[in-house]
Amino acid sequence: MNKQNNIDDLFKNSAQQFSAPAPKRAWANIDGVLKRKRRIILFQRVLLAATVVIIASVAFFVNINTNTNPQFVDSSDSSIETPILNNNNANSKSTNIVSNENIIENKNIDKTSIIKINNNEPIETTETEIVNVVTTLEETLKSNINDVEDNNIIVNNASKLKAKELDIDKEIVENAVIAKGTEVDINKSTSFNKHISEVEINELKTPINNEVSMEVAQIEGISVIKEEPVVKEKNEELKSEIIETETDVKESPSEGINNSTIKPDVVEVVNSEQLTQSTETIESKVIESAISPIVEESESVVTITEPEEVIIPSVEEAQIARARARAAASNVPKKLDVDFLVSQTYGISVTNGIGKTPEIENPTLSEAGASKANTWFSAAVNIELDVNNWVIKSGVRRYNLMIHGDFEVKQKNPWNVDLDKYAFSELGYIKIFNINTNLRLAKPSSIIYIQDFNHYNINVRYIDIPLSVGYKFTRKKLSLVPHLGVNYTMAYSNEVELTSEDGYYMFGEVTDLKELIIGVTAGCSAYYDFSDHFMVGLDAEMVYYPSSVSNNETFSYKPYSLLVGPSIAFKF
Amino acid sequence: MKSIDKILAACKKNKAWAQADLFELYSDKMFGTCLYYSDSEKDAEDLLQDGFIQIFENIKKYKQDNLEAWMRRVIINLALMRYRKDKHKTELFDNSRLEDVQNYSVEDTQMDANDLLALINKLPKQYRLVFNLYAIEGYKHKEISEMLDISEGTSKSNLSRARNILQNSIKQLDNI
Repeated sequence: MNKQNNIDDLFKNSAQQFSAPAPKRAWANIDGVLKRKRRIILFQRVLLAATVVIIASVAFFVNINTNTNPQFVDSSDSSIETPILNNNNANSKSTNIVSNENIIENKNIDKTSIIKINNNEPIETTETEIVNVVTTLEETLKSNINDVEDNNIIVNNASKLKAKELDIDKEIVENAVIAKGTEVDINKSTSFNKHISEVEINELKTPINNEVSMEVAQIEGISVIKEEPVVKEKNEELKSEIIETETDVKESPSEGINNSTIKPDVVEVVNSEQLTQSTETIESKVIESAISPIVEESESVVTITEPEEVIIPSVEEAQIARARARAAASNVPKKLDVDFLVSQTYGISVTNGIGKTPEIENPTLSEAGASKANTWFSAAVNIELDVNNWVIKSGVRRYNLMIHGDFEVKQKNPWNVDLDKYAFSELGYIKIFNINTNLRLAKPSSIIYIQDFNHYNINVRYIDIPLSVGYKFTRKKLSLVPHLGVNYTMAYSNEVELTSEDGYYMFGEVTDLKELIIGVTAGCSAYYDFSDHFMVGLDAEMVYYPSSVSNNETFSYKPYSLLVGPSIAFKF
Repeated sequence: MKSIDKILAACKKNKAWAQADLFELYSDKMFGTCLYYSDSEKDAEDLLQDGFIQIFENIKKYKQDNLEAWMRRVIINLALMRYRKDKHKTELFDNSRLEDVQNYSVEDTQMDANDLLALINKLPKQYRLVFNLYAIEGYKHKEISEMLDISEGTSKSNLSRARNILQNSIKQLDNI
């Protein structure tokens, strides 16, 4: 056992103290893998941020769109008082529906035909209710007409009218007689309806009048809820005309059918359709009803209009109709014009140089010259959401804010460094201009002079995510989008290369860099529409970073850059 | 040179400079460990690279006091994982060559660490792993059997044979 422990201890002591110099290329390989992983992570973050921005933008605009949609009638709103002609109010509507449905059932009226009365599809649930109200009301009128037809008084009155030598031809009377014994077919004969309307108005005035006025009031009440005062006024006018006309007919039945007798139907048609159609349709129907005898064309119950006669609207009516049309047009929400653009920009960017170099920590290094302005090739992928000419612009862009050029290092005191001895162990890193340099030489040498490294390139690359808002001005195929916004800029690559005149070089990185800097941006994009989908343009943008790129107080660099370049865009 | 705490904190924030620092500090030690668990220097280099990538990816989880031991364990676990992956590639070892070296003492051997490493590397892979895990890392047979997916008996047997081979080799070299 002891011997076993001896051999175990021998190897244990040896192994735990054992170390071997790691291959020099090992770190380069590890660093390469780590950089790739960092880029992937950065790309994922950028993708995530861009997705969030797009979704938020779309949600925002969809929300705006929803809020600007017209509000439909809220039939449950009992606070709105119903008008005049009747004591009915909005609350009594449901009662009326029930009672009218009872009437329909009692009369055994085919509901299919009721549906035919109004072919328009209901728009909203509340409107379905309203349609039901209207159709049942119309059915009530139908049934009343049936009652009239069943009543001998109609025939008697028709005979009286004939006796009074009204200009009624024989055929019409025959039609009336035929209609008396048949089921009501409201579309069968307009001429019949024309003549029967007189009778209807005269004879049924008492029993029907209440219902009619109730129905009209109810319809009108709904109109009020829809906040269409012009229509309401028109209805009131038309109703007063109905009453007058009825009086006239009553007083002088021999005067024959007056054009005004169609008015109740006009009212009926206007209101029933108004309740089931979109605002534009209602508007057109109102005009139509005011200027033409559409009653005969519609499937309305009380089609008592002379088909050939054209109602010429009064000036007032025409004005009302026009006002109504304007009101309807103003109520129509603007259609959202949404474009989604993906564009690519290539351009030249210029960044200001570093005016003042950071303090030199190593006492052997003294002065350094200022850098030149930095120019680099820039590439960007942009996404734009254009809603009613308002543009939200985002994307991903490669940026190179830091110095990318020669930086002369002047040294007063040469410092000999034995790199073979110190490079990887005791010395490790030296600090020059806040740059950590990892002393790795392409050409190993036992002794080199640090002052030989008199030029260095700093190459710090950034991924930039701009987020800006602009407004699009369009003239024919040209559009101009000035925009303002912020830039989120993240460093993803940080390399420093120091070179000597003898061909030696070493690599390092800038220390204390901020991972994220935020800049403000202002710019303008001009586009020319080549086709419905393709556009070419020119982008110009100025970005300024108000805070330093470095956390180090001794090194303050607040870059600003100008990017100009052409772009190609695809519009969805 | 920055302190290890500062480097560690920066490594947890995925700072490239800190990762380079950490590699510089521990690469030699870890490469030594890699050599103990690899068949060749090339394999050891691969193990070192993959091991450090694992270390940097998992360093946020590190909450212990002994960073070196933790890093070492990460590398050993990686080596074991590779072994389990390639386990089907069985090695044949001729046991008949082994002499009975039970009475040979290794206390007075003059062999240095590199010689001992060379001896370890001559062991069949499974023997080597069992010996390394038991003798150097201090794991129990039960733990080793779970790590290598073998029985405890096999682990004990492998250890015994590994010791025998090593004693035999040391004796031969000392005699030279």
